[in-house]
Amino acid sequence: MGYLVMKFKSMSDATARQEFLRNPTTGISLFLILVIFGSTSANSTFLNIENLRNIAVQASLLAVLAFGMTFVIAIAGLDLSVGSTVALSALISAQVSNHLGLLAGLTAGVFVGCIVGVINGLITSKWSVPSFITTLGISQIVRGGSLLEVHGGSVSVGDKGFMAYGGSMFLGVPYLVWTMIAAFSVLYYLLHFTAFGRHVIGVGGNEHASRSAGIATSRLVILVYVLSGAMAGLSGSMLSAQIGTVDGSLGIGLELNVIAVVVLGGASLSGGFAYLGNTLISAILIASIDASLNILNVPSYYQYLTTGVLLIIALSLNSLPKTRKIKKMAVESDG
Amino acid sequence: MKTGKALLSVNAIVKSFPGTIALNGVSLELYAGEVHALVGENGAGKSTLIKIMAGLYQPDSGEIKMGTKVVQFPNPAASLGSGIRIISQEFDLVPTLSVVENIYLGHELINKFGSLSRRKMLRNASDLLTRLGVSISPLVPVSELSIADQQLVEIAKALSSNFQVLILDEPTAALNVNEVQRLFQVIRNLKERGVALLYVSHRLPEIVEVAQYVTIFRDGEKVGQGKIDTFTEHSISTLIAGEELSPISNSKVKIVKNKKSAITLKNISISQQLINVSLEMRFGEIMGLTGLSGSGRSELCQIFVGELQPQSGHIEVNGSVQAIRSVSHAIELGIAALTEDRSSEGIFPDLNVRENLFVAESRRFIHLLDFKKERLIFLKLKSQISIKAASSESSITSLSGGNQQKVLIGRALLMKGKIFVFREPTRGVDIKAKTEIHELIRSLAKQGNAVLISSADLPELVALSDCCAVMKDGVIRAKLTGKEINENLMVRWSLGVE
Repeated sequence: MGYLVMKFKSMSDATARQEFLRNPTTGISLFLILVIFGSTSANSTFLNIENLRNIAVQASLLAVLAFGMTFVIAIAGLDLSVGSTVALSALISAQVSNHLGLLAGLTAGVFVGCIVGVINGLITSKWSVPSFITTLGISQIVRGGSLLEVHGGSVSVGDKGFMAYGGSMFLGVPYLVWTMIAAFSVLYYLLHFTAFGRHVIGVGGNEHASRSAGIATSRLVILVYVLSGAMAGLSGSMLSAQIGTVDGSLGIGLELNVIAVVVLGGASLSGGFAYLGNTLISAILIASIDASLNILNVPSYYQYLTTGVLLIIALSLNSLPKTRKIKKMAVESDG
Repeated sequence: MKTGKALLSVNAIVKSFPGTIALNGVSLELYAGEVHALVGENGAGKSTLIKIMAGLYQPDSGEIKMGTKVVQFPNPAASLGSGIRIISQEFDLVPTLSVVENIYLGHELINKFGSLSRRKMLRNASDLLTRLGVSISPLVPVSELSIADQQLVEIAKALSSNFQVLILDEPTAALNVNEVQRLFQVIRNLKERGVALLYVSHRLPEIVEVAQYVTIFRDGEKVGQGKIDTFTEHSISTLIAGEELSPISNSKVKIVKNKKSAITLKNISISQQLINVSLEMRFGEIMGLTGLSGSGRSELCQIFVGELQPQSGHIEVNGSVQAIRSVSHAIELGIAALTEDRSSEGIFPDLNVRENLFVAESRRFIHLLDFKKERLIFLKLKSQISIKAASSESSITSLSGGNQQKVLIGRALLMKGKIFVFREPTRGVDIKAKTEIHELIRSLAKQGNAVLISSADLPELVALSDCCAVMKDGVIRAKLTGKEINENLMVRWSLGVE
């Protein structure tokens, strides 16, 4: 309590209002409400419970990936391998669950992701290869591996438990969405309530300062890529359970959507910021837009156009207050 | 030779980098309850020694001892673990984290469940800031703080955990008189608690005030060491420079009446930052400008160089009424400037010396680069303003701070203006380079240029300015001329006691 009280005391009403408007959460939340209103008035089936569930599942698959990416972008990195990792872990989790059941399948999927993450992290931090290059290369390797794994064919999920996980609900909410909520809770705690989370922001904001403060920066970088890999593995397993038949070409280009989600949530590619809640809202936003265009029977090529335009509009609205703030800071800087 | 117990000692440290020997067998001992000053020109090896103590560099040979135990610092964590804290001049802060988060970065307080004890950290940080006399909220992101406040956060960060040895690297470069005194009070308290302190600074009066022991480095070697009272400021500066420096001369250009006005500001105001400021810069004169942080001094300079537009009042440049619309417009009008912060706003660290010189030379969109001509001009400038660089292609970051600053002055000279706005021209610059830069500024004025120097370094303004304006709370409180230009009066006006 004392913390919050002090936080509010330190702001006057005017700055509180500015703070509210400047906060990226405000922008994307308003945008989401707008999309929901617009879609509902255009076609009332948008608020249909089935449709909402569908949106929630799609948003969950995307959000889990984006949670991991939020950490990577916070340390000023990029993980371009998540799309391929989704494919590989979808295949592995399907195969393992066919023999050993649901839990083993999920674990195997996440484990595959962790391994990809360790490799990404080691190459990036120990050999000082830019993450863009590392993960681009690893992405190709993992994609090749996925296609080889099934010789270009596909795998069908046969395990009942795994299928139930992908299609059933608890308290009216799909298990996949519960999984996303669990992942969100754990990561939110990690980011905001542990030293690990703070060090992530520290390394992204000023790596030299973090090193001087005694933080083992390369270990931290590796952990962040492992986290991102694990989330990709989890998302792949979830996807596998949901669609039932998977092949090596799943998730091509998905990494760019994921980065877009994180950036839409107000993160900066230069690192030092992480807003997990915004990432979630922004994943829901993207899933809602997709669903709404589907309901309105907009052909898929228009969907790409619309998403792109909306992304640019949202991002420029998002960065406007930032630019203004920087200008203001330049004016205010020390006297 | 001493009775106390050395907490930290370094012995015969050698460290070389490709092409240079940064440290050549230096030794130093820090005793509990003592302030040991370390002085030397930029590039003398002070920073290298600090980085070795911090675990950022490994020495080629020599040993480090904590007490009687030989230790090694393979990384900063090892140095921190041995109880060494460093207040760095490079602002080792994370801009996107808040003040309290920065203070506890790397040694966060954790409760028994492994989560952060935010409230406890907040309380401790508030106490610490109060003790330092800082009135900033611990919840503000560091990016929103002024340089002086950032320096104070850096100090609070070092003080937030237990330690035995404190190394202060130019801690007062960004602080005003009050803040410096508060820092000295903190240092005295630490001394009483038995902390060993290493105080690195260019400001000799501060060293004489606060230190008991002094070591002087030149070119990577120890050229003097002993009790502070066996030295005088003059003998220390002689050792630092390795030659007799001509005392900073007061041979100012005589004020000739009817000098032509270069820039005239009339009743310039910006809400709450500047109030009805009028000031005239004349050709052939050096105008000094000082004031504590928050006095409006930075804002006034920003108006001169086109970074900031006044809300009311008017500006005359070369006799005609003008708005200085932008920095590039200012350059067109013949106003060349030095930025306030050399490393973050001045140099391009990835470019070489020549590229740094010519980066702003042409603002035409299509402009073929003539490398040969650029090299020739570089050579001319190099001898004219004595830049010490191996060649025009050396990396700018391989130069000492003083030489980087000279390159930036060179860049300003190349803009072919007649009006110069120099902000903190010698901040973090060694004594010798400082003297040379002062000489250069004087000759600019002699050649008929108009020069404005905004500085927190009062002796510098005393030595250079023909007229000196002192600001407080957005208002020019005094315009001093002749004998009035002395430190005493400047301090009194800027504190508002006059």
